[in-house]
Amino acid sequence: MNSRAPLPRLRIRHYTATNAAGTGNAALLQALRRRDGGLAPCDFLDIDLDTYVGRVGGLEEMSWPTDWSAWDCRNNRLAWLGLEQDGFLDAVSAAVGRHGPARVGVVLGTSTSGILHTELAFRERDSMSGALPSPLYYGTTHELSSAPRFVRERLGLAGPTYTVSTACSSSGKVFASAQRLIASGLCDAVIVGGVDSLCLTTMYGFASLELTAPGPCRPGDVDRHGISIGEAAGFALVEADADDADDLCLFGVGESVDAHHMSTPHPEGAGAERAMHRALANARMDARQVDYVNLHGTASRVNDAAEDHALESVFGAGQMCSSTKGWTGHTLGAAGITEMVIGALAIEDGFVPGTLNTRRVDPAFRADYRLENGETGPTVVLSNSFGFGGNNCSLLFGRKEGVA
Amino acid sequence: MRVAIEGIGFVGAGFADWCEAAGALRAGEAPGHVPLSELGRFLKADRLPRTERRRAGKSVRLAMTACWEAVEASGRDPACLPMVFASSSGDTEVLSHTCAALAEPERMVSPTRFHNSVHNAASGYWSIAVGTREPATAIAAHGDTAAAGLLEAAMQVTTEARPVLLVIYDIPFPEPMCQAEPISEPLAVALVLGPATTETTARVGVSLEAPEPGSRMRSAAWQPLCEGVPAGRALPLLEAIALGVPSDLVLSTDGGPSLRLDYQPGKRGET
Repeated sequence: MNSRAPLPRLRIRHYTATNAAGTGNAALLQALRRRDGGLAPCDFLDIDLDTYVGRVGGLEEMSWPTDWSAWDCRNNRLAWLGLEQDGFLDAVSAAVGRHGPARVGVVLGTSTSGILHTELAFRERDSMSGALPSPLYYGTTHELSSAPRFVRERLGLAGPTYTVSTACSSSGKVFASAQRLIASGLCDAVIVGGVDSLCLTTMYGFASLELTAPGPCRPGDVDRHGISIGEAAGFALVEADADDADDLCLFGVGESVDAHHMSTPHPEGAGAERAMHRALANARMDARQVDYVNLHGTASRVNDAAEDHALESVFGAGQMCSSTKGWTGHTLGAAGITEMVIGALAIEDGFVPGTLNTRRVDPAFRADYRLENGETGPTVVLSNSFGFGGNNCSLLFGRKEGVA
Repeated sequence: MRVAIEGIGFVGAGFADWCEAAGALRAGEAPGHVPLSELGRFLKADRLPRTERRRAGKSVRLAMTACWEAVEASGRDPACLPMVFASSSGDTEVLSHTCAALAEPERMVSPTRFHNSVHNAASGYWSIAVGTREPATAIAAHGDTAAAGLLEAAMQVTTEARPVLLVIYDIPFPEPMCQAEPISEPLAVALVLGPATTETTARVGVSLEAPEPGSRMRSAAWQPLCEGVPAGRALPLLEAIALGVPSDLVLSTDGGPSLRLDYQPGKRGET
């Protein structure tokens, strides 16, 4: 594809995911193994839409330290709940011990951050003046980089900190930023991931596009009727790969745009195809080395068809794949990290999650769209995340054994 | 990291392009003020397909106007340029109107308003306009967005040894959000940054260092714009370019490392 030096492999030292299917990796793994999804009829706030959501329980009741009250919003509550799982805080402390706080960066993805905080504030406007409640704490709640700045402050870090917000590809693309921060010698470790939480904007917005399904989403089904929206937090601690490291490895990241339409993917998946090819080129790997593809697989009619087309272009027919959005819902800006963690769990625990809720795969599809869990785990996984604005990202990761 | 500055675009504070803004910076003339309602006359979106032109909001057209100027100055084919779009809050009008509409009983969010609400709306429209499939990222870091944008773009240029289009842009929030998050002026600064292979082009070294106070504008009349708009934090660099003088600049960040910018004009004068 090009003669440039590839961006470096990253060592995935630690990872964790929290979503409707489970709080932390053990609960998520159990849900995947037992095929026990987290979608339920929408009971979020007073939303009157006929749809299912993947909601994380307990955020409303969560105790929140008064010192951090300016940061209190659903998105940062979800971020904190996620950070507390799987010993992630200890792993960050160890990284700070190795490298110092200024050498640990934070790059997180989100689509809407804490916008719910502002949505609810608009309900409290002064009836005479129209003024919002004051102070609004916009910068520490709704603003797009609220979560990474919260993580940096709360964990005592001092490295570069920013948000990638490219809709539903956001928390895939953060891995490319981490590659650059490490390749450029600016960081020794980067906390990457994403946090996106339920809000009115995405619920009513996707409904306006007639993209939300009345029942739980059924990715790849011939009778699929759209997406189920979910919320999630997920994090990974990445460093430069080392020869003697036996952690999972991020081999490559592929990014592209469609240049086609703001909210509809290219019908033949041209941008998606390019993202997958670029991930392989970045990793200097061959499509035949990919065992399993975790699809973007939203269950929208157009997305799933375009993605299948792109898969056939890259891998030929019969590539083993599935979508795990039947467990979590589409977690939007957190989808990339959520599905990277699911892929990692599949590798570590030796299984392939079949597509939940799907009954009959669209007969037009050429990929090997798995519906039942498989008991042979993958070594190398490619995970896709595609978003509005035609923005695409593919992550390629797995065990290093057997990969040149 | 050292990158070449191949092209510059500027819109805002009453200036239609970089030539006008650079002239004012050299003369020490104060920037102007353009209310959001009058911004339209400074914006060009004529290269968008008709449907997208009708749908694109002001912040999108602001960013695109600066991008076209920078790309034309660079002589690069925009279809070959990866994109870094940096904005603190993106399309503030869409965000405010959406939040207001969702507080009404009908909760009407139009499909167009919804897809315009994503932070990467501007890069999405731009990619459609120029027909590129190169990577596009959209980043935010509140008051530190200009520093984050420069950092991300410089890393892309140096790690991949190829030119990148960077645009840093903001528009003010309308009422009532503007009281909670004041942004004083619509402003967009676009730069085509490329590998620093020769000394004939203006270059800037980009590095991180321990926190220290940020550089102030040499022209005091510009300091309020520098402080009043997140995108304005890039203005000390633009001033150095306009003056054509070597400059050692600091973009401070709130709680993170400072960005040090070591500007060197080209050997045959500024770009």
